Amino acid sequence: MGVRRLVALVLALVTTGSARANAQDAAAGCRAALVSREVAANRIIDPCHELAVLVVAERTERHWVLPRDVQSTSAGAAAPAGSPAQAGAVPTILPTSFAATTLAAVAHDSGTSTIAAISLNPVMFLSSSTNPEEIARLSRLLDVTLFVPVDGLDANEDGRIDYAGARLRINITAGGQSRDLLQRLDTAIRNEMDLASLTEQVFLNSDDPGACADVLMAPDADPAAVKAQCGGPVNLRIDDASYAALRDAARTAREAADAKYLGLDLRLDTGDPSFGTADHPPGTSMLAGIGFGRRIAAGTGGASSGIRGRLGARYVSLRDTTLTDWQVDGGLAIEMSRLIDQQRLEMSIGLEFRMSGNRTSAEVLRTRYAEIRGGITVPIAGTTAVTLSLSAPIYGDVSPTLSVSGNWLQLLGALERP
Amino acid sequence: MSYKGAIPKGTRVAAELALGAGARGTALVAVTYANNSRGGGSRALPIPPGTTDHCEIPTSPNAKGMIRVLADLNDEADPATLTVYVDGTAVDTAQLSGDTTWVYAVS
Repeated sequence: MGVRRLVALVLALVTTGSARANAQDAAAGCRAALVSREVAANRIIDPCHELAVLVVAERTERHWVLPRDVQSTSAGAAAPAGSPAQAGAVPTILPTSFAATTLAAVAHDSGTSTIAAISLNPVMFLSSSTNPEEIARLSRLLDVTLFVPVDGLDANEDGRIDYAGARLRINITAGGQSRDLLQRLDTAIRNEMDLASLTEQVFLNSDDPGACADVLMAPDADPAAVKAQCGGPVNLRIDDASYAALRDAARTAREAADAKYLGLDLRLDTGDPSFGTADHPPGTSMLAGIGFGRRIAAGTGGASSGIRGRLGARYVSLRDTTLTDWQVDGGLAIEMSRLIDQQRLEMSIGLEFRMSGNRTSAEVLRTRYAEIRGGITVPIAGTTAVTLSLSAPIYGDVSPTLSVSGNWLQLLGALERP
Repeated sequence: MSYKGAIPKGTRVAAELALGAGARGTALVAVTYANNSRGGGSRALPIPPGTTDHCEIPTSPNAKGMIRVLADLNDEADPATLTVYVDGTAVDTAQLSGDTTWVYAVS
């Protein structure tokens, strides 16, 4: 081997060895920096890469999470749907998250009455503070509502409750992926990975990666200090606007999931809806239907509108007679709401109807009618609200109604929180 | 500190969010990944109150990268538990007090 080749080989060996020693020194420095920041030693694999990721994570964290300033109150209140105390047109079938109660004063042709309703999410009865995952897996998104008149359970003194009802709401809507959100997530993590790769190279060539990391994580890093500690300029510029758009996309995806629903609406009523004060024979009715809703202008706050609808089959059997009937029961309504100081003002107006082929006994069977219904819900404090509801017949022989109800939502919710 | 530690290359990472029934509205869990071979991907899933669900993503066995997990809650007081699994084994879990993001290096 010639002298020149020998010298070149020796130089190559020395350079490689020197580079390896530098890399080992850098890795040791990065490892020490990670340990000093309380990263467990058994969770360190490639120290300088991981220190770079840590630096990028710390510099971008405040762009990912901000204090929440808007609340969504999509969960349903206790809703005696289909009773004289129904609040608004075509009540939502979105179940209450935990518990809700309603107390309604109702006026109709037969007189006045007071109806109390309570909605419970069955999860409450299975709740265990030590195993929330098991409870969440067992529960479906449903609630059960029970309601009775409280100003005289047996006004006609026949030994039976004059009127009572039960409702079961099941939300079967499945959440979906938001394309806009996924694209923004891809862009954000790609930009952060590029920053991390750049920073890793700086650490590998730095005499003191720990000191370099310290200055890079400083809120207002002085470029001169960065150059001094890191051995050269390092640009870790963050695009605030892209993160703001990402946070909006996440919030929109979350609100959109609350803005639509499809579910089952099951009802059981027994007694006489006039509470025994009018000459309507009592009976038992069962209804099974589909309910849907979609908020048209779902957003992070402000005004929104939407539509709600339901359609089902109802079977009624009158007590003390042989009269039975199958009926179609449904409705369609427009809802409007506006968020004011984190409380939601809601209005609804719509058409509800019930039809069957029995013309001669339509009045006693409470069928073959259509009515306009509307309601307005005014929040009082937190999730407490007052609802004023009106109904007026446009076809058929049913009574107009006026009701004023107080709604208390998630009354027991604090018990769920760890 | 949002940085949680390193995850080995070639593993499957899952982020699970358990949202309490008392939550005011739907939450969102997302996991997003990029590596230095220009690979990666993102998953996001809405989580209704009273349910638990997860999204997961595979990592490349041949490239270093980073993963970010995000839990976006409707309200800061919503009861929620976030858990990250690597190849089915829980590596981090915490009860949340508001929106949360965790970062992992893939090495």
